[in-house]
Order: sequence, then structure tokens, then C-alpha cells
Amino acid sequence: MEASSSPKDGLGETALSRRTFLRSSLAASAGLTGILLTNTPPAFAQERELKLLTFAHFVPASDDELRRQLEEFGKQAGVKVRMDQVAHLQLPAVLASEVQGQKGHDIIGLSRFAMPNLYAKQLVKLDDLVEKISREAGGLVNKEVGKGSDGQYRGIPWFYVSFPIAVRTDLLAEIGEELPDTWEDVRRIGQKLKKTGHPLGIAYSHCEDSNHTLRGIIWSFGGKEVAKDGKTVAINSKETVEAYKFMKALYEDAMDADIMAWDDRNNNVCLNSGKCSMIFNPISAYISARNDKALIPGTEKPIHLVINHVLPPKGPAGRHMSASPTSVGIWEFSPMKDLAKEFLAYHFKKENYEKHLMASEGYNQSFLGDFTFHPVYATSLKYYFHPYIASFSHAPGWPGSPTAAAEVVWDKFIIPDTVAACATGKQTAEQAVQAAEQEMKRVYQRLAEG
Amino acid sequence: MAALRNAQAYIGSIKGYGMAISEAPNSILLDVSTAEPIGRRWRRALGPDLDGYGFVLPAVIIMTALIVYPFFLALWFSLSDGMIGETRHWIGLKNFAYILQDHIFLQTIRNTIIFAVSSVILKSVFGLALALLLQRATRWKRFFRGSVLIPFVAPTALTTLGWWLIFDPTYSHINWALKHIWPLNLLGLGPYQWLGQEYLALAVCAFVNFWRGLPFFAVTIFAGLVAIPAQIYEAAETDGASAWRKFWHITLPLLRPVLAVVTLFSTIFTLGDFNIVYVLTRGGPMNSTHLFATYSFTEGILNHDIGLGAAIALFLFPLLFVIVILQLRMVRKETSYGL
Repeated sequence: MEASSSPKDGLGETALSRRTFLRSSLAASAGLTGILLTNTPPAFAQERELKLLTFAHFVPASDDELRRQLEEFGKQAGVKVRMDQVAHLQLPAVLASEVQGQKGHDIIGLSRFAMPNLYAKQLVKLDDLVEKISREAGGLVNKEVGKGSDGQYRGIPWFYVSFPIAVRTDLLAEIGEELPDTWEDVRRIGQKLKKTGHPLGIAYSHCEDSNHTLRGIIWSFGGKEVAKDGKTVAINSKETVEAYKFMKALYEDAMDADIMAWDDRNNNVCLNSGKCSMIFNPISAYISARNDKALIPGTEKPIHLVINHVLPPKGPAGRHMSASPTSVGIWEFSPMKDLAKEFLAYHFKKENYEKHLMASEGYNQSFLGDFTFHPVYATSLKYYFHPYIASFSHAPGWPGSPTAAAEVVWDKFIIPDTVAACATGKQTAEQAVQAAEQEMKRVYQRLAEG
Repeated sequence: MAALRNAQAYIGSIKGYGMAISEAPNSILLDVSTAEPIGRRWRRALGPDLDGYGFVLPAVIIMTALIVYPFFLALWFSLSDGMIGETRHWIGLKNFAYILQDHIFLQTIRNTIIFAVSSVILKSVFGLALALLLQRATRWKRFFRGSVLIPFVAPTALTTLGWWLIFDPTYSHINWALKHIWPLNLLGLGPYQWLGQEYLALAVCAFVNFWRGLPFFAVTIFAGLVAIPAQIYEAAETDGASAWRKFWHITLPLLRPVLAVVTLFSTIFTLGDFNIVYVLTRGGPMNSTHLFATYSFTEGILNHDIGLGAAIALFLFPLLFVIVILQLRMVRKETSYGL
């Protein structure tokens, strides 16, 4: 029986025969199979479109400006454009699936420090563009970020986010203390403030902030994960053991146990809710306190007025802190590589790049020398640290390059976990450092063999 | 030769087959000169269920594309090296040997077993209790039956975010209640580091999984309860059986097939849980809540070592496969009420 076109039951429905259903199903299955096998979309879907993927920025205005520039460029180039965003923690998974499928966006934000290294074979070489951009804008403040495992630029160093101390100045005044300058200051002040109900907040947990800050402490004490070659594991040293002992003391004297479960949001909440006295964080905590009009508990006074930022503290080996670098690259499989490159050249033109920087309200910090002392950092006294922090900030993996192995160590939270084990008394500092060394050696060996 | 002739004779003897066996000796070729149209012959060859094949074909294609193909791809990943997007080379069981020396993986096995066993036991016990309550509810029964499904139908990531706020490290609602609400504040309990203390964090993850999976147990067991013939209970009552004896000697034995199936599915789902741990703890503190799925994601996706990630994910497959076979066999034996 063929499909009947006559209304059925007076409802205007068309009866669907079994045969028609089978034919339609088979046709749809065959069509889908054809598309999958030939890897070619149907003609109606083959429109030229430049696609950009990045993580949702913590200051959304920055994304708005980027989208505006992309759309403007699209109009000039006569192509359709699209900008997609995903949460920063989801971006690695999306990029991994694009690489595996060899399909997806053309331009991608490389939010993880080792992505240019890890995806070197999948990303377009951008040395010429990096050279041009840096020449026109005062050079690069860090020449390692953006480089692939082959030493060539696979991503353009876009911006970095630093980790100063965000501190409640009113609480310091109450106990008669000045702004902390050394880690010993942090401990001493933290100890006093904890007694007044305002502990220090550094996450010893599975989160990005923890990875950054704890590395800063280790480096400031003279410890390091790897030697300068970026391959030799060097975590097991007297200096690292001292750093672990210090972190245990800091936990016991100045912090609450909840830091063992913090994620990246918790330190912001702790500071802005009035509980914490000091945290180590990008300026997003301050910006959200200001935007949310958060008040000091029990008062009508906005809390952001009493939050200030200070350079990371000095340790026995100087002032060091980990920063979070972001690059931007182009997939090798992109059918629009040249156009994508043109867009990046357009975006990194001084006037456009500046607008993007301004839109982030100083959250983004530039790798380009000419922007280090940009007026945006003079718009608030709270940002005074900005131009100077680059000298003390390093990409993870320092003093080596931000390699894929460094990223694995990062993602497995080897440093936070071993520090937490030491701080809670599960292991001595020596045992914790040894455990970190053992785990790191396995990682570096596997990646070296791979 | 005799066998061939017998076969030819048999085929030729089939009434209405429409084909003649070639006369040529030793030939098994079919003479199709007098055959029916090809479509009809296929139809006959495949039997009366040709339409059935057509109906299941789309499902088979989808299952092949979304289940069979990814499974074998994962198997290949686990037996090969190389990062995501790189050319892969066969390395045999090296990835499995590597993870067996990984102390985080060994911890993950332990976590997963504690997580799954505790959660499935809780779900079985409380699911049965809830199903019995649902059966007894006479008023508002539709409301109750609908309400218990909410944890199961709501998106897990979203509900887990709710639990995350309840167990928040700094501002846990439970800790607040223990401190401020009478009479809880008289007990002097807390504050607890729900997500910051190793065993407590794993217990919280198992509890949230229990909360989410309880409706699945309750509703399925409830369906099993409804299917038990009332005459059996009536007969037992006539013999003077107590409520406990009825439960122990009638309800529980007759529910065993349903319980076996629901436990099987729940065990599989629980062992593969990802969302709850990823939202609540990301495997912390100190890897004490990593499950196969979360650790596999860390190694395979975040660290781009897709072979290692696949090996972690597939590690329990042989064991699960055996459990599934045994449990399904048991179910097949016990699907009758034996009346």
C-alpha cells in the first residue's frame, strides 16, 4: 500500500505506510552515511565562514569587543563570521575533540599554557606574524609562551593573567600591620588575622588558583619543578622541602580547613563576603566585588574600596609567581588559514589590540612591551602592580618552557595534592616532595618516550 | 557427494521455492532462469520478517555509529600510543601495564568500588522501602509517584550544583544549620569539611549519586510490586501469614528478577558516573574521589593521552561483562512467578 494523501480521521493527517517509512528511513540513513564517508557537507552547508572559538572571558566586555572586531573584519573581507565561547574548564575538551575529528573552528583561544606545545603539529606556524606584531609593539616580555615543541610559534602570545595578593587594607589597619612584602609577612599577618576571624585563603585543592599560587611559593623559596632544560625533574631539593614546610605552617597558622576543597570561585567568595583577609588571585575578585556592590558585613561600606592588590611576596629566593598565559592560534586543518591569519593581523593592530585590552578593564595583561605601561593600569590605584608584575611572573614549567609534560603535572594536581598531604600531616615535607618527584618523573618519562 | 545430493534434493523439494537445481552432476549452481523476481526471492530467503529487518535497520545503524564504533575505537586507543590527533601505533597492553603502576589509578579503583558498592546498596534498600511506601499511598498517590522522579529527571549537572552549594566548603548550608537551627545547634556538631576531607568527600559523592538514582530503583521496584498477583497475598493471609512473612516469603522472592535487573543497570551507571564528581570535587581532595570516568577524562582529554584515558575507562570492562552475563542468566531463570 502506498502512502495515502487523503486526510485521515478528518484531522488533515497523512497516513504513512510502512513502505514509505522504510524508504524514508533508508534514504536518510544512506544520506547520513554518505556525508560521513565522504566527509563533505551538502552543498547548502558549504558557505565560507570564519569561526573563532575561545573561553568565556571573566570580563565579558572583552569578549564583546573581540566579537565586534571579528564582525567588522568579516564585513571588510566579505565573509560570514562566527565566534563561539565555552567555559574555560571545558575548552580543552572541545579543542581535543576538534583535533581528533580534524574539524571545527579556524581560530582558537589556547587558554592552557602548554597548548601551543602540545598541539604543535596541529597548529599553523605563526613566526612571521609574531615577529611582525612584536616588532611593531615593543617586543615580547616573554619569548617562550606560544612556542610549540619544535621551537616555532604555534600561537601568538595573546595576554596573561597575573596573581597578585588581594588584601583587605581595613583589616590590616585594625591590627596595625602594613601591606605584606614577604612570605614571612604573609604568615605573620595571616596568623593575626585568623585570630580575628579573617583567615588567609590559598587553595590546596584541585583548582587552577591552587596550581598557580603553590608554584609561586615553591619558586620563591628557590625550588623548581624542572631544570632549565624543561626535561629534568628537579622538584626534590632542600629548597622545595623548605617551601613545603612553610606551606604546612601557613595552613596551620593562618588558614581554615575549607581551603582543601576550594575551587577557583571560592577564594573570590571568601574575600568578597568579608571572611578572608587575603587571597592570591587575578583582579577578578576585586572587579566582581565592585560590580556586585558587595558590602563589608554589618556595614553599608562597599568592600571593594578596602581591597587592594600587592605584588606577590618575596621569599628567600626572591619574588616569583605563576601567571596564566593565553595564546591564540589557527588549526592546521582549517580551510581558511590565510583569512584566519589576516584576522589575527587585524586584531593585533595596535589600535584594535588596545581596544580589546581596555575592554578587559586591565584584567588582560599584554605580552607586548608597548602595552606594559598602558594608561588602563593607571585608571585605578588598585592596579598599580600591573606594569611591574611581569618581571616576577612566569609561565608554569618555569624555568623551563611550558611543555606538555608540565601541563600533565598541572592537570593531575601533583603539587596541590602533595602540599595538601604535607599540610594535613599525612606525609612529612620530605615524603611529600619525594612523592611529587616520583609522580613527575613518571609523567616526564612517558612524554619523553611518547 | 551423497550429502550434496541430499542437500540438492532437499532444496528442490521445498515447495514453492521457485528454483530448480541444475542437472549438471556435482554442481551446486542454481538455475535461476525460471526464478521469481529478485526482490521476492530475497524476501523469501530472509523469511517472513523482511519488514522487521527494515524497521530495525535505522536503529542498527545508529547503534553501530554511536555504540559499536566508539567502543572499538576506544579499544584501539587503549592498545595504541600517541596523543590526541597523532598517528597511533599498536603497543599492545602497555597502557594497561602503565596504569597498574600508577598510584592515582589504584586509588581510583578503590574509590570507585567504595562509591559504587555503597551507593548501590543504599539505593537498593531505600528504593525498596520507597517503592513499598508508594504502593501503600492511597491519597495524593499520583503526586507522590511523580515527585519521587524529580531527582532522576532533572539534569544531573544542575542538581549537583545545588548539592555543591549545600556542601560548599566555606558556606555549607548543612554546617550553617548545625550551628544555627534549634535543636541541631544543641548537638554541638560541625562544622564539617564535607568536600575537603578525603572519606567525607567520597561519602558526599556517593550520597548525591544515591539521591539521584533512588527514583530509578523506587519506580522500577514499584512496577515489580504492582505485577505480583494479589491472590498470592490473599492465600498467604488465609494461612495466617504476618506482614513480615509475606514480605520475606512472597514479595522479596518475586521481586528478585526486577531487583537483579535494576541493580545491574544501576551498577553500570554508577561505575561510569562522571558529572557528580566533576562538579563537586574534580577528583580531590588528594585524588580521594576520582572515579574511572573522571580520571579517564583527566588523562585522556585534559592531558591528551587518549590511549591512557581509554585504558582507564576500559579497565573494568571484562569484569563488568562477566557480571552482566551472570546477572542476565540469573534473571532469565527467574522471570516466571512459577504459579
